[in-house]
Amino acid sequence: MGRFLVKRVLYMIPTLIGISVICFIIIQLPPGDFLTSVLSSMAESGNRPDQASIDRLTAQYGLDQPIYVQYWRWISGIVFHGDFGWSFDWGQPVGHLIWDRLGITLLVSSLSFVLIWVIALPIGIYSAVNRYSLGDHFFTFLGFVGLAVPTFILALILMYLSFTYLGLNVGGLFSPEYENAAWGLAKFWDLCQHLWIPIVVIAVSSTAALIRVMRANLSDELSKPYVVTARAKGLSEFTLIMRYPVRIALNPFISTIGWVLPSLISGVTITAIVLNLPMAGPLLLRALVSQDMYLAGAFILLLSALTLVGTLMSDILLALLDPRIRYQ
Amino acid sequence: MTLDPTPTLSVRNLTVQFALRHGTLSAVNDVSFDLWPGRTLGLVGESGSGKSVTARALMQLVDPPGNITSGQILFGDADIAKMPRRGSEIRRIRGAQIGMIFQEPMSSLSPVHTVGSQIVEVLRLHLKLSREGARARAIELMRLVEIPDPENNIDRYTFEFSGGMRQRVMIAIALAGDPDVLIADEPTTALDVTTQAEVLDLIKRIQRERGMSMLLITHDMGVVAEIADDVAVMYRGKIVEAGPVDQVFHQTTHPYTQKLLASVLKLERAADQKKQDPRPPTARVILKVRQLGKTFGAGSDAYGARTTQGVRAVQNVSFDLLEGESLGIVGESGSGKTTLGRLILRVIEPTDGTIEYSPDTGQSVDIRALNKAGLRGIYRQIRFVFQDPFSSLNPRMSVRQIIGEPLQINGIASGQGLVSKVSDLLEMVGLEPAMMERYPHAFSGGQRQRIGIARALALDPRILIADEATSALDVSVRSQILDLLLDLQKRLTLSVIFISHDIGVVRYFCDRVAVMRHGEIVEIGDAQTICTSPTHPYTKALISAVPYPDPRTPRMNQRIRFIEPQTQKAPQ
Repeated sequence: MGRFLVKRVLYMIPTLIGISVICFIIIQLPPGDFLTSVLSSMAESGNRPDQASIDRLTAQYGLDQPIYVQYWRWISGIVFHGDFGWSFDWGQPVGHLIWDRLGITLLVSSLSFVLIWVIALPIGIYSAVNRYSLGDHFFTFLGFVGLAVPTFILALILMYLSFTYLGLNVGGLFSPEYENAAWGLAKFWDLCQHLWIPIVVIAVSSTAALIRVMRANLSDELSKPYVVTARAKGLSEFTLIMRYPVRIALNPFISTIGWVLPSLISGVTITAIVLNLPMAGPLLLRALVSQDMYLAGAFILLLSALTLVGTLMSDILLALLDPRIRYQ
Repeated sequence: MTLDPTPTLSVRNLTVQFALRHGTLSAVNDVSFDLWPGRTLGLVGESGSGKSVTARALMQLVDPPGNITSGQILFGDADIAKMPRRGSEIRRIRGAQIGMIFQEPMSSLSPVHTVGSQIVEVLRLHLKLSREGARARAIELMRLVEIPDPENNIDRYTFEFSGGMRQRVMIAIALAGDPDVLIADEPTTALDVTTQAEVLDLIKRIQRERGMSMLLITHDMGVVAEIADDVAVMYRGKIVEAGPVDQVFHQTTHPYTQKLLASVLKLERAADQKKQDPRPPTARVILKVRQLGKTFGAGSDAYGARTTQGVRAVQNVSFDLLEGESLGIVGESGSGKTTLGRLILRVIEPTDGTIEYSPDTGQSVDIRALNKAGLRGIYRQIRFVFQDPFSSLNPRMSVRQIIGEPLQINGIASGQGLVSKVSDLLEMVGLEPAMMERYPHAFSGGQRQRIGIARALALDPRILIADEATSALDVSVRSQILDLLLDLQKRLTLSVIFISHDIGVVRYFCDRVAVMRHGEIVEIGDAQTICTSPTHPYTKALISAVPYPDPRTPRMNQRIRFIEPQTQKAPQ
């Protein structure tokens, strides 16, 4: 197990290096750089900067250097000093901007993820055990509706409903009066009142997919001979289904952490914009549009790293759950 | 013999029906039998006879759409047939008073739970033992079923066990609740003959010692003759003949039983054709194999370090195949016999040795030196017949397409010519040419294997490699297919390499036999000599472990065990 872990973590290093290179190439891809967009906006306002200050800025950011030098400056700053560079757009270090937003993204995503599991797992088991029953058809229908409704519509509907009928202030994560207040029970309660909408909205679409995954996995397992063996031991139906086929059907389900987590993180952008949430998505979008390269790069890099961590987590969980993987 | 006056379990007029789209199917039809304390009833029949469904019905384990529609299963004061399938009543009987051993020791145990936890579960459930008590008892049980080092093995997983050891675990689970009735559904079918003999010995001994009633379900008349006290023969859901084992074997009354026994006994000696027409040993060698070997996985891991020696699946195999001869290759699972068959056609690339093919027209070729195009030419002359007649035919292709495909690919026939060639081939293997537009699902296992043979013959090959070609078939069909192959071999002067684990089939069909073990040929020679008076101790053990279908001459009691010489320890 220890060897397995070390090996898996070691494998992550080249992957991370590869990702960082790709991130950097992506943020360099659009023609021009941040300076050109600053200059063009300055020119629009009739404020023509002199060549000397342009050269000074260029040299300061290393924009005249070859691309690999720029990459090295960027990545060595991150790795050795924790310095993600300077956001041109905001006029602040990137590090100041991203952590809050990443934290909230992570919070919302993981809560949604837990909600997805809590809903999808029992429904998937129920659907598989009672295949083609009325309940199965009902949940299948519900699942497909959830899959088909675009998240932003659901977000708008939920906002409308909770505003009209519950009288809640929605949008954002805090009510205005708590925005800058110190943490306390009241603020926490306020957060909870705001948080449920994005979590539900984000969870709904992925839940449907996972119900199908669980249903299909478990249906395959239910007819396996080891289930008959367990039944022949005299175990009750609930115990034996939970102990044997569900246990084995969980394997592919756990692997889904690897792909659900990134889709959650990237997929919530629209929802975050609609709900005006201080999450990573909207900031990333803005950074990309304004060619704020270090900010965009930092986000892409960190989100990719999170995805890798998600995959690692699912691998570790799988190994804990399935001795066949552990012993390889 | 004195009989206990009351049977442990009585089945009366049991009928199990399956609701299908077009009406109902009676898988078990009006079946009655008794299980007596200390006695074993062998329930025999071919596939689809309803024997497994009967066994499962005894524990209410028949899943929908199957249903016990009438009859009684009297056990003590209760009638199991009346109990609800998922109720607590039947659950108190399952595993506690009736234990069951299943066929596939690999898939019948959970791969993600330790062996111990799967035994302990029963002890905790039925005997209400404490955690420690159950563990101690589980170790005892494992010792009883002769699993070595139970203290450590209890915490291991099933995939770390061999097939025979897994089946012992299965037996331990079945015995854990100290049952009065033991149901064994094809308990040794998935095992090698030597392992089968060991496991059957064990089951029989434990059943005798504990005075349990046993219901042994099997398709193997040999196993029945060795183990059972009474026999019931099932055919199409009915018991057609029942009685003490000696009576059923020696005073057979029902024509089906007679036919079944005849086809079993037929495979106990060489084919009549062979006796009448002993093929003169032609001097011409059509295939010469020398020092052939294959080492798997002798490689390096992701860091480039050399990790393993590799597994030597086949090593140092040399033989000659004569024209018109059939050479049997026998061995237990893992002996490398299937790999050997594939090496000859380089489906698996050999790592050592030479394969020289000498057709009657033209020059010898070294198969190992051929390029892709050359190899394709060889594929036309050396062809495979596969084991599983179900998965080796594409279900979406009609029989005409299946048999015609090799002809089309090689540009030999098309259009009307193809149709007439396919109908010739179908006739040759004893099928109606009119069937060529049908799809494989419309055929029985035996018919499918005939289709597979027709496909192999389509290109007029010189050599057939038949890998367990009859293993998936029922015994009565098996001899038909063998006779067909014998007949075709004579007519077309084919050479056949016949790979099988089944000594009987090899003795029936082959002129010469090579016995394989751990990737090597331990003995090669005339089929009759090898099967009646082998010289190598391993071959002796192998032959003596085959159950003999006559209760008057049980063979397993006198069987020879092959003790592995220490130096020859196989690499794991």
